[in-house]
Amino acid sequence: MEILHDVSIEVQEGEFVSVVGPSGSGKSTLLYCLAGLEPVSSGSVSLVGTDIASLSRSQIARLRRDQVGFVFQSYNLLPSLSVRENVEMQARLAGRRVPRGEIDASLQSVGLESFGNARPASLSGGQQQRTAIARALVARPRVLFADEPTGALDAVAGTEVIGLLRQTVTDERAVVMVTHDPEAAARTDRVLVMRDGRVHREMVRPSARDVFRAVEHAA
Amino acid sequence: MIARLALQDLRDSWVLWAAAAFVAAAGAFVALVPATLIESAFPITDVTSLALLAIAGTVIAFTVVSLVIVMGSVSRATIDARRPTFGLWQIGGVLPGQVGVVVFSQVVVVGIFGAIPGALLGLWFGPVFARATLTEALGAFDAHVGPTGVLSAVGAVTLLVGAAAIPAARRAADTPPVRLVSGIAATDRPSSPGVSGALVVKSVVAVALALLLYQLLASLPSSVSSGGSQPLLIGPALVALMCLPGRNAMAAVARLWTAIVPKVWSTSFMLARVDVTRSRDGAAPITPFAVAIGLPVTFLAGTSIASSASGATGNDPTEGTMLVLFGPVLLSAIGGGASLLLRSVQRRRETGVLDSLGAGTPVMLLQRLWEVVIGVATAALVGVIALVATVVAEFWVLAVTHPETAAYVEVRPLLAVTGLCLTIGLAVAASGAPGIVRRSRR
Ligand SMILES: Nc1ncnc2c1ncn2[C@@H]1O[C@H](COP(=O)(O)OP(=O)(O)OP(=O)(O)O)[C@@H](O)[C@H]1O
Ligand SMILES: [Mg+2]
Repeated sequence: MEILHDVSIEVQEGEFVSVVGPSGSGKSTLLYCLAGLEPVSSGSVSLVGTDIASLSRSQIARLRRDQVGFVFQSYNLLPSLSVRENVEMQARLAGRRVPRGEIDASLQSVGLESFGNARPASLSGGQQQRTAIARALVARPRVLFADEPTGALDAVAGTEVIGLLRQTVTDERAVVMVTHDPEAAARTDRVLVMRDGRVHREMVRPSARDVFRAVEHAA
Repeated sequence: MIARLALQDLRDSWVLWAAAAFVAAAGAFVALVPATLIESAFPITDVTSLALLAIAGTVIAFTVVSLVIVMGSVSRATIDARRPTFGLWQIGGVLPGQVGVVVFSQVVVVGIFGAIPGALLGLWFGPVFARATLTEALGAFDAHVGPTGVLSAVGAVTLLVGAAAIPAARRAADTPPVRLVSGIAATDRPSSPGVSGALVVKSVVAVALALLLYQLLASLPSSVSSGGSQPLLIGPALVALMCLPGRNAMAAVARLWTAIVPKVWSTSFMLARVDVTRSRDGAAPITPFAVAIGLPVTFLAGTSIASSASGATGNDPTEGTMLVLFGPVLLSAIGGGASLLLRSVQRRRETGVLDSLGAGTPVMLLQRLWEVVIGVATAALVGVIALVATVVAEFWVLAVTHPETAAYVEVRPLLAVTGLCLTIGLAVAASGAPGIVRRSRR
């Protein structure tokens, strides 16, 4: 079944891009395709300069391990690992020893410094998602994909998370975020509005009001 | 409507239920061996009958130990694997009590459906096996088994499956649905009232087993002189006692010995270790594997010490030994494999997370491999502890009255059964490999 049609987007280093649109419009699917988690039936995806269609499964996995971070809507963590071990895991898979202080710092920045030894089962949905963000901070990916990273958070925590994502965007790093929150989208460089599997509109540094109207129009 | 849900569930998760049914089949198949001995013993009135009944006693003791432990462990694991679904049912409006009833009936139905073909196969195998293993020792005799044996085997297996399912079904019904559904949360569960009931039962059984062990050991010198079969029962009683604390204790043993492996050595080993030692059901396969290894090694050590005490040398009871050990070892090893399978089925989500982190196929395959190795090695460790305990205890008791008692331990049987468990475990892990290799979408 074809879910996305005629989608053409490009994200540069140093860009913070958000994707908005009605539920079921294909935002999560777009993110999965861009991250190489879901194969595309036609068209091409190129990630940090490599066409992933030309890569084997294990090459894609390696590329993802070294260059890509992902924060899912839910089920981000390995249940048997503690929060600290989860945060460490991606860097560890990439063969990098992470100093304890670095993990502590990342946990602190997402407000989970006292949960390092907790298991995911005892965290709330928002805390689990923040753990995944801390993991991405430690892994330092070139591209970070985040699917509604503020969806499960209150307004204050949500603002903080957007701030964190903003900080990770540097000259050589980019963030692509799906969100339902016009305020959050308004704090990004570029907003893509999805509708029925297509990019319906593209807006550069819009106001929250513009985003709200555009989504309403797309619904 | 509820019946429809239950049927649909049986269809959707047939792999889980097939594993449970297969273990029930193995249980009934194995149970027909002692049934054959008993049925064959009754029409005859000479000394052969007594010999058959004596052997049947030993075979029954071994078979019952393995049946109770393995069927209990597997039906608990089956229900635990289904808990997210049961949570969804409750959210969809099915009452907790109804969930309990449905789960219980599913397990019993699956148990019966598995047990019947297993017993029918045993109907043919039991007499053939009894003849092959006993004719040399007892001379030609009419080995047979009929409908009574089949019915008792199916009945016993169903009873055991049902008894083990009741607490698990109660737990499935008691847990708040939200916890059941949010897959992650279901892995960590604070103890519920049902657990303390099980604790009482376990304590009673533990005391009974300890008393039995004491009694067997105390009467060991006299039974060695009179050629009784007590020495053979010390092993199974000890193994049963050691398996009683359950998978949490097995997880603790695994945690202890794997701690010697540095955490940084291998990420896949570390992932496997935390899965075995921290997840609810990661240690479930260890118990059946420990029975598969512990029963034969303690049995062989016990017989060799007892025969050395009575002055017999070169007494090699291979065929009778086969008769006693074949069924229980087969059943336990299959039970261990089934528990592994039950676990791997419910792990798609975990695979999804690892995939998104770019773990790659080799890491995930190695993780499954290490899980099997850790599980079987822990079971072997428990088996060795049981073996050493048996040898030390029997030697200590016998050395006083029978100075010629010699304690020596054969390593080969230990290696052989450990190898069998490892083979079955690796086969199960390999069966999950294609799912890992062509994993896709969350
Ligand atoms: N695994 C799947 N198989 C088939 N179709 C799917 C699958 N996952 C999603 N879809 C379909 O693809 C479409 C887009 O789904 P997607 O999850 O990308 O939406 P979304 O924009 O992220 O929605 P939401 O805001 O609710 O998260 C939906 O119509 C959905 O039915
Ligand atoms: Mg989505």
